[in-house]
Amino acid sequence: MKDTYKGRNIRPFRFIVQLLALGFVFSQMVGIPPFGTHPLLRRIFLPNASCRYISEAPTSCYYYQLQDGLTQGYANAYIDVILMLLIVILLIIALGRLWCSWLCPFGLAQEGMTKLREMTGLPPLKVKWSGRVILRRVKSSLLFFTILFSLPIGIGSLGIAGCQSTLALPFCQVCPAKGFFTVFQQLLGIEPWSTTLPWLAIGSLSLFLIATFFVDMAFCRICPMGSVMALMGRFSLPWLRKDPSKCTKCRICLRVCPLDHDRVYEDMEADDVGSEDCTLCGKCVELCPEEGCLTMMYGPISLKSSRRPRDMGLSRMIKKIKEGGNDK
Amino acid sequence: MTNEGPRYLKDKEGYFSKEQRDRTKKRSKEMEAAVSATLKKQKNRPKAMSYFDELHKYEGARYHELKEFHDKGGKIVGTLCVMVPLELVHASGAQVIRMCSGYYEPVHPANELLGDAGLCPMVKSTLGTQMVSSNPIVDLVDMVAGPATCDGKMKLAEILEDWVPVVMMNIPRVKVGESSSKLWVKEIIHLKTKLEELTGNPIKKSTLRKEIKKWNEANQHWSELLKIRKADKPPISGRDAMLVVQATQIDRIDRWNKKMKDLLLELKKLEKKGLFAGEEGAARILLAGSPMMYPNFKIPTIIEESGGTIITDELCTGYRLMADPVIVDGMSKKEIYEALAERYFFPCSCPCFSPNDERIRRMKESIKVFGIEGVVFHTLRGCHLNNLEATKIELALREEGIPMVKLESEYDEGDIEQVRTRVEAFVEMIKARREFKLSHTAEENK
Amino acid sequence: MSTTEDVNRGPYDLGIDVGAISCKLLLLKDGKIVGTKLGNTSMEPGKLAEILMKELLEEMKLDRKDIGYIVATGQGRRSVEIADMARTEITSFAKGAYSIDPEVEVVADIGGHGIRVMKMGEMGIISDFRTNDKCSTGTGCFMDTMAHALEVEIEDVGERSLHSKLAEHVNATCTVFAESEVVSLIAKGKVTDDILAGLHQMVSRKIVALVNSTQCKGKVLVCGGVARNVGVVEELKKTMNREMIVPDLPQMIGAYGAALMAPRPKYAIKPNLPDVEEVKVVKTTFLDRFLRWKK
Repeated sequence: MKDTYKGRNIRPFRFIVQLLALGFVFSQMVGIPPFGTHPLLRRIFLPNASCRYISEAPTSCYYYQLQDGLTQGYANAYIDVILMLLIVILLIIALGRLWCSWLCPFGLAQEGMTKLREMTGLPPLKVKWSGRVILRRVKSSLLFFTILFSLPIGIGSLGIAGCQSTLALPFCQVCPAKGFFTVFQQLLGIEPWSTTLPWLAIGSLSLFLIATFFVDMAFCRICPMGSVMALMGRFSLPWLRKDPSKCTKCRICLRVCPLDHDRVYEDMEADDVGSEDCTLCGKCVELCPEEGCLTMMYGPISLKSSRRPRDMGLSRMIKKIKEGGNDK
Repeated sequence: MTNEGPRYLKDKEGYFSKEQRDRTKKRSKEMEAAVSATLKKQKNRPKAMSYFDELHKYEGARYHELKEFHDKGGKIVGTLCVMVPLELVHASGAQVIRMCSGYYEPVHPANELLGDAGLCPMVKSTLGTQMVSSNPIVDLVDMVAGPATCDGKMKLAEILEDWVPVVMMNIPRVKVGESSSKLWVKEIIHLKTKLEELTGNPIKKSTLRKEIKKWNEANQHWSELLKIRKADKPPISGRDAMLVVQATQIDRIDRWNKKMKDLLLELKKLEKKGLFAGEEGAARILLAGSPMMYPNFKIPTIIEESGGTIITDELCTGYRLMADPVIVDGMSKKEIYEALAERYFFPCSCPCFSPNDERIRRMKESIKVFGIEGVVFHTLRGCHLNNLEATKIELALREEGIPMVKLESEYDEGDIEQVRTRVEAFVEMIKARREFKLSHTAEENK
Repeated sequence: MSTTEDVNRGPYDLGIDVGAISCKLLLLKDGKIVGTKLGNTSMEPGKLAEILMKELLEEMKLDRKDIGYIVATGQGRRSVEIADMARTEITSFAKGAYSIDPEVEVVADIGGHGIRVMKMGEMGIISDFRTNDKCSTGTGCFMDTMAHALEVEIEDVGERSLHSKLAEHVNATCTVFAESEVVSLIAKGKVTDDILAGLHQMVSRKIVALVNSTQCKGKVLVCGGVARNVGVVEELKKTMNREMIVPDLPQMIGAYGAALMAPRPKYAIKPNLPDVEEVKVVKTTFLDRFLRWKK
């Protein structure tokens, strides 16, 4: 399979990073990262890549805290939420959507499903442009409705504080990551089998895993955490650069994109072609056949550029001629 | 395919006298020999080029090889355009030859029957070759794959059906939107079934992959050659590069790869010795416009004889043949065909497409990368698409400060002196501009 | 070119313009025209140029050694063996026109077999040019054919057309078809002068169309053999819609430009440097600087 296209120079590296991130998250289940007992150290919020529902986990996804803080923090003028958001925004600025494709364990799980599909020889279902627009709207409306649900519950004068037990953390109830981690913990015997099995989350987990089998990265398309990162896309340091003058419009970038992000292909004016749906997985960069057309950037530093496929054996021979034979 | 149907032109074959047939054959042979001789006369020519000379020879080694292959029951597919995926044809076990003809003499028999002097001479020559069977290699063809690109090629494919079965391929001429890609993938799959019918062996995924690998290797070799041509004094002339890349259209690709490797290594040695294929201080020219099939090397010869070197080109019989690799991502059959189809469709900057901004963009990029000083835009007589695009390109290049000259040519040698004067004036103009720029910067540095 | 070499060579430069119909010689000393010679191109333009040169030298009472450089141009430039260098007529016409008037933007050369329109760039270097591709309308050869059909001497064509009161309209743009149209006009009993005026109108339309295609609005210099035809020049003045000049020796401009191209240091290009533009200072905000990589 390797010989029909150019070598992958980003994916192996990304896979290692993903495995490390997954290892970190799983190690929290058995309580390996000893961050100490100070309450502040027990509350590290990351843009994603962890979950509150891992027992004893010192880190969690900030989305939990956002909902929790909005329901609880009315009295403290939401100071917790604002502080937490500031930290998270800094984290997003530092790593941008690398959180999604390089660190998120659920992303790795989805890629596993894609691998499974590839083995069966089924082609992926591509989402059309109109579908992508709808999904993008679903993504931002999820964020909007989460806030809309959480806010009034916390305001005592509205008199619906009683719903706190049932309607608190509305998104976490349906988040497939919750299902993913709880089921794992119970399977491994860390958590006892109990009646509080989150059926809703498990249901959405299985739904998305099945969907991911047919459509690449199905959950990433509507992930509300991703939508916050997309909003911050312009300010975050990692970004995807395109040199439009080198583009031949061969459509490879669009064809290989797991999220069908079309700006890389369509946009012929802007420099920054990431944001929106792009999770910076670097697949287009490694498969683009034009020298220096697409580049993964970190701020002003270029990390990896696309290059023309080369015959390594021939290049070596040519180099030998170039260097050797000075006697002539 | 339509053997029962009326065969309008084939019935007219008796119309041509034996004398005319023999004359066309003889003239074609002479023309090829003359062009080949001028090519061989170039200075500092790499020895590895002799293989490619032999390959293109009229009734040469390749013809005898193909004839043997054909006699043993092998199938030969003729193509009419760069947009036919040759990986697919090779995967079916058939051999390929490019039908588009560059011979001047067969234009006359086609002219006599079609009666339109304003038609594209390449179309007429291809048809004339078939009518009087002036090129024996064309007579071996069992099936023709003809994408309906420009009007001439489309009707040519239709007329050729009188002699050989033709698979017409519907090219979506508007590149925007997702439907065009889908249609073209379907056309490729249609071609695949037709090829399977012809050869009798189904195209397996694994064989197709192997072919794609070979062609990608060829693409890598071609980009290596382009890298060599970027040098200040490229050791290969534009004509030779064109000859080499046109060889992919008739050769077995694995053998081409091997010979290309030899050529590249030799060129690298020549470059190290500092040998230059062109004249000293030659103007660096980009050749663009209508296709130029092998013996029709009139314009490139004039350019390189009057003090210019063709550093790169933008022709569908040159750079564009090998410009892009097939990048397959995934294991499924559908994805492979999609990758194959999109490689031959989206990056192609044939003027039959609209919008075709890629062409201008690619030319601008080439001008930057290869250090081009002037563009020669060649159009064949009656090539409306290129004629219409020429003005647009000229205006775009003027913004960049790159001069362009537009030359119209026919398939005859009557206009050589006229064209030569224009090309020489163009080269002189480029040299004067260069001198002016040099003195300008020298003065500024003071 | 070093000055020592210049001393060894004679002070005169000879430009030879071997055109399709006539062969023009022009002798130059220190940038000034000192002698010209005109002859009809024969089958052997190389020998003809040599004979004409000898005649010219005899007339001027000069020796072969007095000539420093010989530059050939025109369609037969390659066959002139005595020449030191050869340049295309397009380049030499531009060069000649530039030295006559540096403000000229477009040069139109209407020769025996071809019309060439050149757009001038900086310092007399052409930036663009057009030629008549495969059509001889408007050329000297065309006028010859028409004069022959009308049985008029070619020298009288211009003068006679000026007497015309009402020009006949000639539509055909092909030499052969125009001839048959002229013959049919004669058959209708039209006046020769009127037909000639009509032909001149057609020729000037053709030339103006070519000039227009350069998209220039500046001064036009018309030269070449046909510019000697008063009728065409008058028509051109009416239709050109631009400032137009016709030099004294319109036919000799090619030879003049060729002679000027002799590699003498005093003819070399000296660029006028434009003023360096002031560097603009752009103020940037903090956000701009932060986002500067992303545009």
